[in-house]
Amino acid sequence: MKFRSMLAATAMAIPLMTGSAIALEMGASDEPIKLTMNEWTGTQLSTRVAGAILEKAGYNVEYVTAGYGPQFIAMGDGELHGVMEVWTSNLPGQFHEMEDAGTVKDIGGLGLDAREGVLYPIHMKELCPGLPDWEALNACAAKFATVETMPQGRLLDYPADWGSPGKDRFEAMGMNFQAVPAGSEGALITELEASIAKKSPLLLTFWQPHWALSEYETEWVALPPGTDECYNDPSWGVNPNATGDCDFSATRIFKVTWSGFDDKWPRAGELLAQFTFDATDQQNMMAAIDTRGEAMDDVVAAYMDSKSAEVDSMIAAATAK
Amino acid sequence: MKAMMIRLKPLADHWQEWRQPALRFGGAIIFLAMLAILIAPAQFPFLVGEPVPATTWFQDSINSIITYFVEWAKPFLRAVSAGVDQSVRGLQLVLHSMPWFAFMVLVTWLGWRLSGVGLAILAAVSIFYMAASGLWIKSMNTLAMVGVAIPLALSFGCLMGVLAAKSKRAGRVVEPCLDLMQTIPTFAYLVPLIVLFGFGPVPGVIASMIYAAPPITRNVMLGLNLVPSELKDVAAMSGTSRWQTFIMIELPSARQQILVGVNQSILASLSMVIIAAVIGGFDDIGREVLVATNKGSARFGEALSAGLIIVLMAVLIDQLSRAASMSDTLHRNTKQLRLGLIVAGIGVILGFIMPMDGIIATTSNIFRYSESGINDQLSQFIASYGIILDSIKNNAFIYALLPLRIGLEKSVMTMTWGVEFTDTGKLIYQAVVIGLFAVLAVRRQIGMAIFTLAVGYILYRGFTGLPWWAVTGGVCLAALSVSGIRLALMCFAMLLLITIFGHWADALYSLYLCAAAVFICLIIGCPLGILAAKSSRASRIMRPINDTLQSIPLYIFLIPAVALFQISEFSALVAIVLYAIVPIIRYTEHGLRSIPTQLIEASVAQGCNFWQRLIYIELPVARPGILLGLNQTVLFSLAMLIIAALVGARGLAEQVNIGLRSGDTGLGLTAGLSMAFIAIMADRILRAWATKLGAED
Repeated sequence: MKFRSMLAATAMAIPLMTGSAIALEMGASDEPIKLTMNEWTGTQLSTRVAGAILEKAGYNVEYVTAGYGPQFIAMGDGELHGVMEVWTSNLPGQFHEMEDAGTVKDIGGLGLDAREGVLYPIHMKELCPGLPDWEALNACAAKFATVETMPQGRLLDYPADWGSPGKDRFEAMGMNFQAVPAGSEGALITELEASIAKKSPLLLTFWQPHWALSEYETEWVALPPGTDECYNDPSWGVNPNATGDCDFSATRIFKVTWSGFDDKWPRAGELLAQFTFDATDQQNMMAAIDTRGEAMDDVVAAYMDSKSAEVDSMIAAATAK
Repeated sequence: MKAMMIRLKPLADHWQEWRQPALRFGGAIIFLAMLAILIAPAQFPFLVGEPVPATTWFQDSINSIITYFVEWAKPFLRAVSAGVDQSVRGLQLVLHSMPWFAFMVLVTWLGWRLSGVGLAILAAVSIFYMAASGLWIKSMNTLAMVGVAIPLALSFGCLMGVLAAKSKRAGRVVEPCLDLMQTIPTFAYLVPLIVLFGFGPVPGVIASMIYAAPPITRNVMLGLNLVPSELKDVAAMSGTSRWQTFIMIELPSARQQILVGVNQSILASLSMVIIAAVIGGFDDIGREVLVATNKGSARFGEALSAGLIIVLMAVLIDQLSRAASMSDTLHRNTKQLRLGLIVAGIGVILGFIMPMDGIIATTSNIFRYSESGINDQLSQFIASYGIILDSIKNNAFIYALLPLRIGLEKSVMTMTWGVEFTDTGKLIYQAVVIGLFAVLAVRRQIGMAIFTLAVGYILYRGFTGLPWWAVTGGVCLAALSVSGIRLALMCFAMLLLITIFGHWADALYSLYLCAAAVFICLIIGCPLGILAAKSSRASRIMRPINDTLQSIPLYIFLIPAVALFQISEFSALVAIVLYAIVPIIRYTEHGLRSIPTQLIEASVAQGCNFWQRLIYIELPVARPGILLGLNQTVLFSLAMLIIAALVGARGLAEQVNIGLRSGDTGLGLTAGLSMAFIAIMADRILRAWATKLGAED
C-alpha cells in the first residue's frame, strides 16, 4: 500500500480542524463506527481494510450491508458513517445535492487506479483482427451486431441507472454501434461469461478493478486519449462538432463520510482521510476470494499483517498530530 | 364532485337501456378515427400524439411533499422504527443463540405435534438444508425479519379488514388503498421508507407489511360480510353486547376465510423481505442471493442454493401455519404426546451441549462443490447449445416481438424478413383487415369484428405506435361493456394521469411486453393446466415446480435468462413468463377439476368423446375460473416487470429502478403508480368479465 506523504495529508486535514492544533482525540470510541458493505467484492475489501485500520487504532467498527444507491440517504442522517469506495462514474443523483447541503463529505481519493472503457473478450480478435484499434472496430461493427441492433454493432452499456457513458462516447465519435443498457451488473457479467462460453460476439462498457478481469481474458479498445481538450473543445478529435469524442475521462474513486464524523471520532476521521488502497493489491485479493474461494476474513488479516509497519506509523502520525 | 355523482346516478340506473347504443356509438367513433389515421395520418394531426402535455409537476410535488412530511413526521416515525428495530434484533439474538440442531429438533417436533410425520420430515429436511448450506446465520436473520414482519402485517391487515367490514365509509377508503398497496412496485417507495424509518431492517419490514396486509384484509372483510345475519340476530336476542357478538360469534364463523388470508399474507411477506434486500442493512438470505446474482452466471449455483432456502422457508411456514389452524381436529393420546415431548427435549438438550459444527463444515463443502458443478453445467450448456438458443431468440424477436412493438409496417424489411413490405402489400393488408371486419360486422359478430380490427391494427402499427385515444377509447369501451360507466370513468382518469405523469410511452412499452408474456402464458399454461386436470400424475409433478417458481426470490430468474438469451427483450420475456405462467396453470386445473360430476356424466351419456367434452362442455363451464387465472397472470407479469428491467427491459419498470437508484422519489412513485393503474384496470376489467360470464352461465 502506498500511503501518501504525511505532509500532504496534514495540509489536507488542517482546514477541518478549525483552530485546534493539539493531538487528535479518539472521540466516542465506544460507539461503533458504521462502514457500509456494498454489493461487490472490491468495495467490501476496501471497507474491511479501512475498518481493520480503525480497529487497530482502538475503534469499534460495525460493517453494515447497504445498497450503493440507498446508503447515502442513511448517511446524510448520520445512521451510517463511511463509504470507502465511491465511483464518480456511478454516482447516485442525490449525492451532489447532499454534498452541497453539507450532510456528507468527500474526504479524498482512495488511490485506487480505476479505469473505464470499452472492453471485448479476447476471442473477438479472431473475428476482427484489427483490434484493439478503434477504427478497425468500427470497420467490423457488423460482426458485433445482434438481431436487435442490425445492421449496427451492439455495445452493451452500463445499467440505465448508472448513466450511459459508452453510448455518449460512441455517439460523439459517430461509431457504427447502437448502445443497449444492461439492466444490472449481474446481467452484464453473465453476458460476458456467456459470450466467452459460446465464443459469441460482445463489446461492453466495463471498469477496472473488477474480479472478472483477472478471471477472464479481455482487452480494452484503444480509443483516442480522453484528455481535457477532448472534453472541452468540440473541434478536437474525429467529430468536429462534439466534445467527448474519445476515451473515457479518468474515473475518480473516493471516500465519503457523514459530516459529523470528524467531530465524533477525530482520529478515525484523519485515518480514513489518509487511507489508500492499491488497485493491484485489491485485484489480487478479489481473485483470492472470488476465484479461489478463500474467506474474506483471512485475506484481510493476511494483508494487514503484511502492511503492519505502515499501519502502525499511520496510526502514530494521526495520534501525534 | 358530489354534484357529478348525483348526475351520474340516474345515468347508472338507466344504463341497461342505453348500453347497447352507447357501445355502438363509441365503437363507431373509434373505428372511424382508426380508419382516418390509417389511411391519411397527415390530415388528422390531432389524432396522433397525446391530448395533454406531460409535466414534471407531479414528480416535483411528490418530492417536495415528502421533504415536508419527513421533517414533520420523522421524530414520531423514528420512535416506531426503533421499536421495530429492537424487536427484529431481539428475535435475531434469540435465534442466533440457539444451535442449529436444537432448532431443528424443536421445529420438527412442532411439525409432528401440529400435523404428523409428513410435516415433521419436511421440517427436519428444510432446517437441515439451511444449516448444511453454510448459510445458517443469514437464514436466521431472514427468519428474524419475517418473524416480526408477519405478525405486524397480520395485525395491521386484520385491523383494516375489521374497520372496512364494520363501516361502509371506511370500506370505501380501504378498498382502493388495498389495490395500490398490492400493485405499486415496492422499489417505487423504498426510498421514502428509508428516509422515514431510517436505515436497517425496518424499511424492509414496513415494506413487507404494506405488501402483505391486503390479502388478510380482503379475507377478513369477505369472512365478516359472509357471516349469516340470522346468527347475529340470535346473538342480539340473547343480549350480547356488540363487542361480545364480534369476538364470540362473528370472528369464529369467519375463521376459515380469515385463515386463507393468513396463508397468503405469510407468503407475500416472505417474498417482500427478500425484495427489500436491495436496501441492505441486514445480512440476510435476500442479500446473499442479490450479491450472488451480481456476480453473474459463474455464481449461479450459489444464488440458486441460497434461493432454495427461501422456498423451503416459505413452504415450511405455510404448512406449519396451516396445520396450526387445523390442529384442533387432531386427536392423539397423552402417551404419544408425552413421548414426543421427551424425545424432543432430549434432542434440544443434545443440540445445546454437543457442538455439531463439524457436520456443517463438511456439508457446506459438499454444497460449494455441487454449486460449482451447477455453474459448470450451465456454461457447458451455453457453449454447446449457444447457436440453437440464439436462433430461437432471433426468430422470436424478428417474427413476433419486433412486429408487436413497432408494427409490421416498420419491422418487415429485407434485412430481417428477407422481403420488403411494399406499399401495395400494405394496401392489401389494410384491405384484408377491414374486409374481415366488415364481414364479421355484417354477420353481427360485433365482438369478433372489433377484436379482429384491434389485432390487425396493433400488428400493423405496433403497441408503441398506438395512438392515445385508441388505447383510452378501447379500454373505456371494454370497461363499459363488461361493467358500467363508473369503471369506464375510472379507467379514463387513470390513463389520463399516466399521460400527465409523462409516462405514456413507457406505459405502452410495458404494456407491449406484458401482452406478449401473457399471450405466451396462455398458450403454454392452459394446455398444461388441462393436462394437470386430466392426469393426477402430471398434477403431482407440476405442483412442486409451481410452488418453487412462485416462492423463489425473483432475482434468480435473471441469470439463466441472460446466460441463455443475452440481455434482450426476449430474456425479459422469458423471465416474466416463468413467473407469471403459474396462476393460469393452477386456475385452469382448478376450474376443470371443480366441474360438477353430473355434467360430465351427462355428456358421457350423450356420447361425447374426450375432445368434444373438453371443448364444448368443460372449458366453457370452467371459463370464469380460467379468466380469474388470466387476471392473476396479468398481475403477476406486471409485478415481474421490475425484475425484467434488470435484464434489459425498458419502460415503466426501468423508470422505477432509476428512481430508486438515484433517490428520485417523484420519478419512482409516478412510474410505480402508472404500473399500479395498469394493473388495477386490467384486474377490474377481467374480474368484471369473469363475473359477467359466470352470471350468463
